[in-house]
Amino acid sequence: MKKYFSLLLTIVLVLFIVNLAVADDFTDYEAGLNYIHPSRSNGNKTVTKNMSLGPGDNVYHNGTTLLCSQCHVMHASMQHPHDGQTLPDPFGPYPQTYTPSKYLLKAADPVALCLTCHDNVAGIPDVVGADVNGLTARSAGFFESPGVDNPRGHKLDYGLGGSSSLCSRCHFSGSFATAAVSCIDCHNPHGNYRPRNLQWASDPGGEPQFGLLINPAATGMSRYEKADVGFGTTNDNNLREVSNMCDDCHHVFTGSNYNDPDGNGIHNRHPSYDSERGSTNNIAQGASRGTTDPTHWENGTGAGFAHTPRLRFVNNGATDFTSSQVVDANINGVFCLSCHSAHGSSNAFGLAWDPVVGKNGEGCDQCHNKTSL
Amino acid sequence: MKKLIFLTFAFVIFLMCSVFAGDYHTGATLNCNECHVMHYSQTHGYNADGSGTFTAMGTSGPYDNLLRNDVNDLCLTCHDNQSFAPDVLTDNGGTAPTNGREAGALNRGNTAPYYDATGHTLGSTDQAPGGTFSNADGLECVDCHQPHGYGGSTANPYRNLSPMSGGGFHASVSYAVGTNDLTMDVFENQAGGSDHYDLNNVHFNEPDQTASGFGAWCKSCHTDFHGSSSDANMRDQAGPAGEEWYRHPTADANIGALAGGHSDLTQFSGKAYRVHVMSSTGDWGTYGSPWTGAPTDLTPSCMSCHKAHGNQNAFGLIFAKGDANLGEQGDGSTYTDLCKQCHVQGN
Repeated sequence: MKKYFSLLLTIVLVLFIVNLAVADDFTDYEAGLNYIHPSRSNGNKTVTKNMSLGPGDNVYHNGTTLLCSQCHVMHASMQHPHDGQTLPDPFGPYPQTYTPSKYLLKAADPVALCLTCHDNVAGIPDVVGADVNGLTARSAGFFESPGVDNPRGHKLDYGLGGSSSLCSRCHFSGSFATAAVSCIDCHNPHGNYRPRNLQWASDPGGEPQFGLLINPAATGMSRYEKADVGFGTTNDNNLREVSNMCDDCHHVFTGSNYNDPDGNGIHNRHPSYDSERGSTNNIAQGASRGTTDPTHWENGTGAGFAHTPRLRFVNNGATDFTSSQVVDANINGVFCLSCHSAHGSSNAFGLAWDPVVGKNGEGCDQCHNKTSL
Repeated sequence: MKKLIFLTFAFVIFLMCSVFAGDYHTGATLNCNECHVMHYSQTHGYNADGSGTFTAMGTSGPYDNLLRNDVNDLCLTCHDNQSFAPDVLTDNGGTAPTNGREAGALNRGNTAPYYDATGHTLGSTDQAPGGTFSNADGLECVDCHQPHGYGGSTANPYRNLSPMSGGGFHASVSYAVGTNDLTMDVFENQAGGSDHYDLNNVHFNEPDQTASGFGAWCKSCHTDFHGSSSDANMRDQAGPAGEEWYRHPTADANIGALAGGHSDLTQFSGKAYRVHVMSSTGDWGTYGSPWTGAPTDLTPSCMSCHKAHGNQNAFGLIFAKGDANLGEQGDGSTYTDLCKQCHVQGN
């Protein structure tokens, strides 16, 4: 009996110690946030908009274009439009009555609310399925219908909580394979003067300015055209590469701790530009090991370019659209959006190319040029 | 003739004094002949010699209840474009209060700039939004105001607001004049003078911090729009206390009580010119100055956003940016200025 008691005591003690070790990682939410975004712990939690860079300027749902009644209704009833309101109203003809919803929203769920305008309404960015605006290629791609599993991008779904529930979608009870997103995870519905109102899902309001740089000649829906969007970074909170916001959920895909855990310079995961962790990259860096072909990338012809336009890249030091378009393997970095569309695409994993047999490595070859060997 | 002129002048002066002696049409100022005529015929005034003014009669009489005219036209005989009674229809052609009319202006006939969408519409047969009330004969002044000053269980109803509005029978709105009484719903600084109906002459108490006396009265027609945080039509009862409202609170929600993206007391008190809110302590700050030390129990209600009669803005909203006197329309240019009285989004 005494032997069993000792064994039981030992097990309890071991479990307690293990629990302490694990708990240290997960019970301190602030520490968790600082782990995901190291720059946050350096006194940069509230980064004001940088007007000299201004990529977030002219973003809708900000300042004078933040129109409360587009999303909220005070009494779940509206007999007629507001002064100066553009018609037709996506919510239908007047008088309107709504099912009373939390936060006085015009729909029961934020996703349903956003899609009232952002799906199949001409003149407003269409983020689901076919594009009513007829853009050549939407910069962020497109989602499938909410609630539908989407192997081609992010799964959009209803009923998701705010940032407090974010972690549990993948950790603890959730899994990466089934995790879904809500529009307001990544976009601040009240505007934050960041491009596309992008935000840190784990810490809304703490995000830096993002280097999503729109062609100043583009107007209207063209501002969402893939060709009219470039990417830059100054490697600090004045202008972070936009993929910095992906880290909130995809934080195990970035940083040398994950990409090169043994520090031997041979990647265990594909690198992605991460200035916040000092894990920057450029296409020329792989040349010494023969993994990349900078000249091939800069030439833009041959293997990898047969069916696929030049993949997107983040330009180190670029702060405007023009400088973001410079093709130079020494400053062109690979980041999440090089290969993936943020919302999704028609290709598996939201890839920028179709990874089917015969051109499976098309996108890879733009930098690595292996097929032609 | 001189005597006639003198008597007429004296009667008008008397009438004006009566108008400014507290809410009119009640007690000693309930003058039957002002609204009624016994035989749909009147050839002279009420002085023994036949002098004195009297209210004109409509041409389509005789009228029900021995009225001198159709009810709305009758009320507007004195309440539109007259200096001795508050002007309640469209532009103010009468006495102009310093800061604008507290209740704003009714509309009729969908005519710019007082379109039907800008507030309560005389003669409208529409159903009241949020409720079931409608008047098949068209909305009448007496749907909201009791012409005989009757307040039901409320001894002295503010503005003669009817205890029978909306078709039911309910409490009216109580008020104090001169010296505030925190048990009353409304406080008027003064019950006379040219600023009697000024927006800055009227303040709203909060005798019950979970309710709104004024809002409860509006509820008699606009039923679903009102209630407390404990009412299922107003808030998700399963949500955290005081959060997850379904409809904008009209009671039981203090400005700035919740952190995060809700209302912000600093935002509100930082405005020099603020919309009406309820205060349980009778402290409303100084109109025209940012408010240092604003109490934490301030609560918005119907009158915070809407003019009771209406104005020139859709929904009778007050575009209150807060940088200058609000007047009847507000000093801003859009409804979002109003939202930003309390909310920081879009700053």
